[in-house]
Amino acid sequence: MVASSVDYMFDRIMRRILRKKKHLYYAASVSESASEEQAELVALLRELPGGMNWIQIAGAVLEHGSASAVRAQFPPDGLFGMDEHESRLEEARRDMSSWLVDGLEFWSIVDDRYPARVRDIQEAPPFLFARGRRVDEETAVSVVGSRKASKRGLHMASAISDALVSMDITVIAGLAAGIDTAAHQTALDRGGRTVAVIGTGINRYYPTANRKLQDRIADEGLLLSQFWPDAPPQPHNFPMRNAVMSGYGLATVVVEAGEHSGARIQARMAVHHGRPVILTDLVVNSTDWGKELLDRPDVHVASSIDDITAVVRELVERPRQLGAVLSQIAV
Amino acid sequence: MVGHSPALDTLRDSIIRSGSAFLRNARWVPGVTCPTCAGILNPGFSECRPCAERAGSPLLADNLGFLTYGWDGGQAGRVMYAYKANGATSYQLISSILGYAVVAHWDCIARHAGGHPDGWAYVPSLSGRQGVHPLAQIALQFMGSVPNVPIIANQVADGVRTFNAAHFTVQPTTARHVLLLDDTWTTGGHLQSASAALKVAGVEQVTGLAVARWLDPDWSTTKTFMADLTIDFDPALCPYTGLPC
Repeated sequence: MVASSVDYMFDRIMRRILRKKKHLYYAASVSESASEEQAELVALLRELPGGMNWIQIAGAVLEHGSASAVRAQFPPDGLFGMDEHESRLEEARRDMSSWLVDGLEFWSIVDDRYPARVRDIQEAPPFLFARGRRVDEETAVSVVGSRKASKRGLHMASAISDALVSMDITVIAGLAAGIDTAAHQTALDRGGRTVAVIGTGINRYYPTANRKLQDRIADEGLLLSQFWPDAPPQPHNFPMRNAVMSGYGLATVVVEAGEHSGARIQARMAVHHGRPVILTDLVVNSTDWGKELLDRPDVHVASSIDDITAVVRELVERPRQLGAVLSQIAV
Repeated sequence: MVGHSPALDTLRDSIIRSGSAFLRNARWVPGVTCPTCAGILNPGFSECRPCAERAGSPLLADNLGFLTYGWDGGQAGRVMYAYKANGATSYQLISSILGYAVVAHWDCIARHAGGHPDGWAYVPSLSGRQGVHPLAQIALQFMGSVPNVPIIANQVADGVRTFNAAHFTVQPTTARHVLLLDDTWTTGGHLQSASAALKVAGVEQVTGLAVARWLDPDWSTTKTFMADLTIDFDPALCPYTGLPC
């Protein structure tokens, strides 16, 4: 592609973003233009000032309202500090424009497009890359479980996904083999909406067997990744991804899982986030952690699809009911 | 006795479901936490340093309540940031715990202070944030006919955490007992300076109520204390004593 057409496309996309840009409610500082602020964030994440990690940077950006406000907290290192920062910013601007050209959306934690529910969790990543169609404040439920699922487990995942679609609820999963794949596939086949939160960069396919499915989700649903676009799969990525799934949805359903499954991690995280968890009786009967988790707040056990839909129906009603209760109390 | 009504009981159940797993009631433990602010004591001390330095001033809040501990990196800490930065569930959770604390424990205030408040106020931000403070927005929902006593933040020259009535301006008011709300207490400088400004304006009694007592997990004594915070949050425990009321 010639440089001028890249510039043209970049300008057009930028103008569209700037048109949509709204100022953050109660932001700590005046927000800069979206693109420059995003470049500041990317530079900050490569600089890691003060030895901060990504989650700490995400928290600081949320607290101070912008990446530039966080950057301003740190004096430039040494004589060439500002030059170094400027060259990092320059690099970040170049990356931002190439990501835009590649059709990737980049949402920083303080962008309006970043899912608000994910902001509420302690592991909220500083940014999300997205491909596909974003739906504002959608009602979604995670359907997760083992990669090495049994026939019965796969059948249940499909049935649960099918039930959620018929309730007009988005199915979230992690695009892993087994339960996740069955949940995504069923949602798409039934004409429902599905969101995949992946444990690699958004340009990677893992497992490779899910290449077609991943592309289809990017076309028909939404694909999200909290890593740099070309990041390879790494073991510690997957629990981080599970945290985002817990954050994105209204609840987590664990369909089938072993003692050490990643689904167990998501179930525990969801409890810690104050989010409801639904365990199938298959999980409760076959794992110690499933039995132990039943004592925690808002953990439900389901032995049929009807059980699951009954709990989900109640969860969907909760915010409205809470609003009504809050309006009834006063001194 | 904690207040009961169908709405309050439903609200309590909701808080237990959505917040008890990560919120932690403030606790007053002799020799462990500060008798004033429930912060963690230096070994061998009976008060925390900021409270000890302010001690004796007649302008301090007469009673103080805290709902939960919070810290950077933890889920309770996140909720304290997210409720005022476009979070989704955090705002309802803070509305719930503060609403429950004020309404269900309204008589606890009277028991400690000798009467119910006849005014309420919130501690405005000293960092120049604009717009309606989310805490004020929340409190307006359940303060009923109790009037608000406006507190205006001033330009601060000596550090926002110092104890100084001049950080805030309060117009002369007829309120005698003010419930003063804040979201986070780190050293208490904000809330106590606001209390001082209220008293300078003629208020006789201040009951302070902060949502989160902020902790510093980098400090080893605090870290040990945090590791023992294993009991789930119960909104029915009294914010002013940490005990059943």
